[in-house]
Amino acid sequence: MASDREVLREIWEGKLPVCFQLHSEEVYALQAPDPYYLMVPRLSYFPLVTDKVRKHFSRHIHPEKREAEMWLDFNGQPLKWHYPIGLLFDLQGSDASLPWNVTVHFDKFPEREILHCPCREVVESHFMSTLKEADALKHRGQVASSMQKKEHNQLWLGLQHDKFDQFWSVNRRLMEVGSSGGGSSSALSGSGDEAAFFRFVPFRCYVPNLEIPYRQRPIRPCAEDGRCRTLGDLLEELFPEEKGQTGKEVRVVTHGVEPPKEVPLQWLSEHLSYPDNFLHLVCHVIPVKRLPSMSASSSSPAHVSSE
Amino acid sequence: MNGELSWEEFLVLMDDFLEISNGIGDGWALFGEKNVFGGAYAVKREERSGKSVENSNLNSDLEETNLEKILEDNSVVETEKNENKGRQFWEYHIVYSVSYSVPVLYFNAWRDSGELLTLEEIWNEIPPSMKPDAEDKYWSLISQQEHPLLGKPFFQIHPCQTANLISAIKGIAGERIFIPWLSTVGPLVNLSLSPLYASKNAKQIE
Repeated sequence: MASDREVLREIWEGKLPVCFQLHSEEVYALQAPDPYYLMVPRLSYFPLVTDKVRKHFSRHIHPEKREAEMWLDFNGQPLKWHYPIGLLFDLQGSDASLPWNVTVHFDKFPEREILHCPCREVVESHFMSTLKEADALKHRGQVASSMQKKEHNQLWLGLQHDKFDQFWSVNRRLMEVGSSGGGSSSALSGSGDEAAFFRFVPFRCYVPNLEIPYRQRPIRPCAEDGRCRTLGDLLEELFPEEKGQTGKEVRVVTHGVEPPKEVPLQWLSEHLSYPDNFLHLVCHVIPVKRLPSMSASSSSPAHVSSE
Repeated sequence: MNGELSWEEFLVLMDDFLEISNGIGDGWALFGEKNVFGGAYAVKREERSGKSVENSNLNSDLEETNLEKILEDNSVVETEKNENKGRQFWEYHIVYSVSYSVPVLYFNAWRDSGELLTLEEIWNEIPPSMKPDAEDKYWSLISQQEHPLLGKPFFQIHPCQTANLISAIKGIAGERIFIPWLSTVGPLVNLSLSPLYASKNAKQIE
């Protein structure tokens, strides 16, 4: 069970200042409406926090578009509402200055690029199904499926209303170890202290500017010899092409911070997972500059934190 | 018996399946990269004519818009006996789920105009005999998701029960589960499997 409660709290409280502006071509008035500023939780989803944004701008668009599905873009790139806000920022906006400038649209919904989101129930069902998927990896789905509807609601309401205690009183069960595999998994035997590890670590690695949205593998948090596997081990398995190539380095950003490569995967999964129980890791493959007078770290951009 | 498949097992089954498909000219083809974990998938494209718009029980607003669109665009739609048969393009993908270790069926359907069919419209294309007894069951089974390899919106038959289904199939059909699996889930999304698969599959098992 997660014990570093302060870390959980810090992650939960991560927020991003966002400036919403109506797309200039959709302004149906003499003057463009004022931008709308919001401080949004990194762990939330845009459709859960943008009711007021919609209300603010809907008076300034063509009357026929007022009931249309609202969508957002950053730098011309439609934002996938089904990714947590913090992930979207780490993925697309981390070079941008704060507040994060996001453009609001009511017209020309890019249905080939992003999922439809007609109502909050769609967000809920997406969130719950991702959470169950994570539990399939961690505990063969046995924890999530043993929960009552009431507990599922508590997870969802906790996230939706930004209630840490409500969410974590149930989520802690999903972070428990030892109940995996129902005791009959031969694959798990011989992997050391089984009771201290998930079956697999639920994670997705996003590499910006690649056609494939993310990389995912079944990766165990513990090696054959019982040793804790680390973030560095995960990266080696996921980016074999970079292994041995000294010219490139993979840098991982999640929740606006860069976790050290030696952090054990089990700890990372218990503490830095998003509420959907997945680790969403943004991986930048960057060339290491080998010029003698310049170090790699000083030439790379500073990462914007959520504070 | 566990219904999970490793990526390697999935590849073997998919190769078998593609070989049979090629043999009977069913049109499935391999995309993506086999040497990347979970990176290859099978695709089938079909062109169909859509059902009558009037027969569908869409809400009236939607129906009107569809009719208007279809009537405006006579070049692509034959109108006969109040029946508007628009051309539709259906695409099916068999993708490996890394989380559930099972094959997953993704699909999309487009009109001639390039507009995607909604889930309501897809429901109306399913032959009545293939529909689950309750419509809300359908909504819980199928949802729009991001395609894990293309990053684009696709409909997906939710994989969380697939391992159970596969483990039941294994009890009856042995290890070659691709064809029985696809012939079970396919009809839910307007994909029927040629009976030729059964005979070819049986031959291969012998």
